[in-house]
Amino acid sequence: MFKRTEESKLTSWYFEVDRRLLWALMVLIFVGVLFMVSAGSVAAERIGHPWHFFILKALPFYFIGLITLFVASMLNKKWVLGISWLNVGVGLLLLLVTLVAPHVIKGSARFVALGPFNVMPSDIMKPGFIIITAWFLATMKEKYGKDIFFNKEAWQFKWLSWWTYLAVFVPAFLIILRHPDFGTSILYFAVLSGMIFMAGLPLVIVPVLIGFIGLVGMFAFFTMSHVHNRIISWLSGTGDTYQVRQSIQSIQHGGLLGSGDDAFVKQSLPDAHTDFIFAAIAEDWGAIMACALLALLLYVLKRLMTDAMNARDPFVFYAAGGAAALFGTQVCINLMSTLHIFAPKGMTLPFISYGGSSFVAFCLLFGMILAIVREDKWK
Amino acid sequence: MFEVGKDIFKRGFKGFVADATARGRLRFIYSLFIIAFLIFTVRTLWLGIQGTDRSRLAGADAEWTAKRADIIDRNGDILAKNIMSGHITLRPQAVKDRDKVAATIHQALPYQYSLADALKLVNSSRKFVYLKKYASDAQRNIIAQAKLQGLEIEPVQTRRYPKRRLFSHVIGFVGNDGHGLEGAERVYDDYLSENQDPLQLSLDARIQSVFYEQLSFAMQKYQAKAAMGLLMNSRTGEMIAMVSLPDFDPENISLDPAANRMFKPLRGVFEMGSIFKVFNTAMAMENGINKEYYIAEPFKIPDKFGRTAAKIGDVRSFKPPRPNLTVEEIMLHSCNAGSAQIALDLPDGTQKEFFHRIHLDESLKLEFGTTERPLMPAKWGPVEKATLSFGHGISVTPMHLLLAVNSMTNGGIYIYPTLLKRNVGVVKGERVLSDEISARLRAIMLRIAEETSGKKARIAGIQIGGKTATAEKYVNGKVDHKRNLTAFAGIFPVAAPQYTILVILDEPKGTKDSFGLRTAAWNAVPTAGKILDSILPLLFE
Repeated sequence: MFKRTEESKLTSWYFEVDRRLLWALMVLIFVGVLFMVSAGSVAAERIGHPWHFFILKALPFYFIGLITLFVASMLNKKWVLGISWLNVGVGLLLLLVTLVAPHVIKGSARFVALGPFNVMPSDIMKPGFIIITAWFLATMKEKYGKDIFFNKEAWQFKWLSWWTYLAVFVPAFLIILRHPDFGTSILYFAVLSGMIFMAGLPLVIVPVLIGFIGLVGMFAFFTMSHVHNRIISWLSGTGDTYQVRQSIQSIQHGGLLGSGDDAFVKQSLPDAHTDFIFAAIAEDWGAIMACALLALLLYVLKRLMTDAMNARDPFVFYAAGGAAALFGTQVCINLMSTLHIFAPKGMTLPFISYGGSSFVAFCLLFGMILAIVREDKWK
Repeated sequence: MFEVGKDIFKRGFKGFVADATARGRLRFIYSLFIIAFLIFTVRTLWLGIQGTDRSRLAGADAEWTAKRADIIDRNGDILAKNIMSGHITLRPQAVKDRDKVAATIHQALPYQYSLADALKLVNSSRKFVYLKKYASDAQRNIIAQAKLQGLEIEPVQTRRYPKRRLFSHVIGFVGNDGHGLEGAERVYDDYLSENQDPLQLSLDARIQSVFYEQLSFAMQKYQAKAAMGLLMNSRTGEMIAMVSLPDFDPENISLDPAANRMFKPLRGVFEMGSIFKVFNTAMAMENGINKEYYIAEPFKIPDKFGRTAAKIGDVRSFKPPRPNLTVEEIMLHSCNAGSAQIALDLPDGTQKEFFHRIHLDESLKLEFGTTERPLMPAKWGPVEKATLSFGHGISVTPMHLLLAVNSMTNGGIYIYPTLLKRNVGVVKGERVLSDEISARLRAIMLRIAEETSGKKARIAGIQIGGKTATAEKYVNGKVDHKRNLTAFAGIFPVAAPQYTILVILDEPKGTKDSFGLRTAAWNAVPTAGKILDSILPLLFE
């Protein structure tokens, strides 16, 4: 089918797109599906559903996600921008809906019920946020020259200025913080910081930024009781650390080579199919295979990095860099809680964890990155 | 969309060379991620290496299972207890003496594994097998004495509830992490997880079982949707029995529908009906109303234009002895038309203030949980006043009602209940009613139990007082005569009450014995009577 001599649109797409990244993603998704079946069946039986409960629920998402990934990777820049704006618009709308009619799951008002699905607006807004921010930074650079931060013109009231950007994303950020969803707000903030850092943020500001994160952290520590509890219990090793202890026990149980498919500490590991899936993988396949998975995740990061470095268009550079920042940060937060390196914070492992809207959002983001990288390289 | 790049050589592959800082900074971020991934890798491998040493893990298992104090009732009967148990595990690859291990497995679990099965398992390529979860003492002893490598016991603790369903709502249950999720297990979680001494509750398992038996029987006999029974010490506030049916099995949570887990006495609100006449009469006495009301015809409430806004009548079975009744007689015969007239004679705001005084208008923060919020009327006009007088238009939880009735009859002191055994006598409460009015109410309640609707609760040996209620339910905004909530609130001994009892049946049906009648006198009252008959020897031994 895919021969270089052939001249079809599909063939040219295949040879122009970043194939290595695509294949790495395919492997990640495959690992995710495998674990969906293994850990998901255990989790379903734990809460009294038939073993295929989560698997059947996840199937349509895998289907939609894969189609999204492939279709998005065939678009051009104009379409990518259009879809991103749509994505941001829908995301903001749904965020407003969470204020008015929240669908509360496990005490958090961060979900919206769309038909049979529970969607997390802050999750599905990620691709649009990255692409639009990248586009914005690139356009600003083009118009105001190298320095866009201490530039008076960039701070005047007009369409293409910081004010527009802030007007769009500050409310979103505040709504997410109000949910309360401390983890996602930190994620967004970290990704945005990373992107403006790439865009040439004067180094003087960096300590200010770090100080700001520190302040927000302190604020959360002293006002949000669950943040307080988690950090205290991480420091002292007491209190309600059941999930984390189970997670570590799970990895230990797996040993280096894995304990096979039969014995599960993961049977009592909460969220074995979502936030703590890495622990479940480590238990089934062992620490060595888990490290191979880490290497695969790092390879995805490296591909994004290389794509950014080779880009001609600053927009593509920022977009790929931003995607790398998002992917990396999310993986890091997830693994920090799973491996008990810092206070636990619920966050899905991209492409692997069960979590419908998050999976589709990541597919859309990577599809769009593949598309703009391809266009930038070959047109 | 699928445009093939035609002029890739015109502009070259790499174009974005201008911004060196940006590239440098991206590289910097990337290196931060690499460091983080290195840490993750090291940590994962380290945990993996730790895990290969299983003896360490086995020790850690026991340590990680929270020890938890027992729960006992007021007589020391065990209601909840942690039991040490263990899973029998097999690691085929660590086994040295295969035949002996297989033989031991067969010896310990003869029905589950034949010798051939056991051998097959021992020779299999699996790394880890749970041979038997929660193995019995005898089975574990065999394994422990054999001391074979690869065949081990993983200690676990489980929470057992020897009384099973009897205390399902009150005691609750614990989650996978060993922390209480419902009932006393949740409320006293801190005490239970930090102490070794058992937690003694005010409940009495013997009395609870009487309630349980009679309520289950009543629920079956009258085909009721739900049944509730509460018994409280009128002076100390100790809860002696709390039963809510349908219930669940605390040791097998998924067995019953999740809706059964709702503890209705605290979490369900109902229109309680005529028991509210106790409060209405108390208000009339406080305001010195002392006249006779004409009740032979339904009472018409006029609106501001002089038209009839509502007609308050009585049930067909109501046969007044005389056309005019006093305040006492209105409560005695449970007359709606009379109660409505009393309510309209009360000064404005009396009802509201009185209901606030006996905490009927707020959710109660009790020692063993917070009650649901009562549903109060949106506006407080003449019609609402009239219906509130006989307990319609306001929905409260059974616990609200029990505490309010208790405060009316125990001498006028509102006492908050407790689930813990109290040793000293009377506790301090709030005075909500004068002693004298309380005594007059008790006198009426005694006559109710002796002469009118409460007759079937009368028992030999002790004088009881009570008030019955039959509330018709609203279904889709219309009164449904066939769906009732029937209740009996009783006090005994009536001269100086020591206990207050509340029995509620939700939607009982008529039976042959009751000639198809569904009112409280035919179901809730006889049920309460049977309960009282059985528990008296236990209470006053």
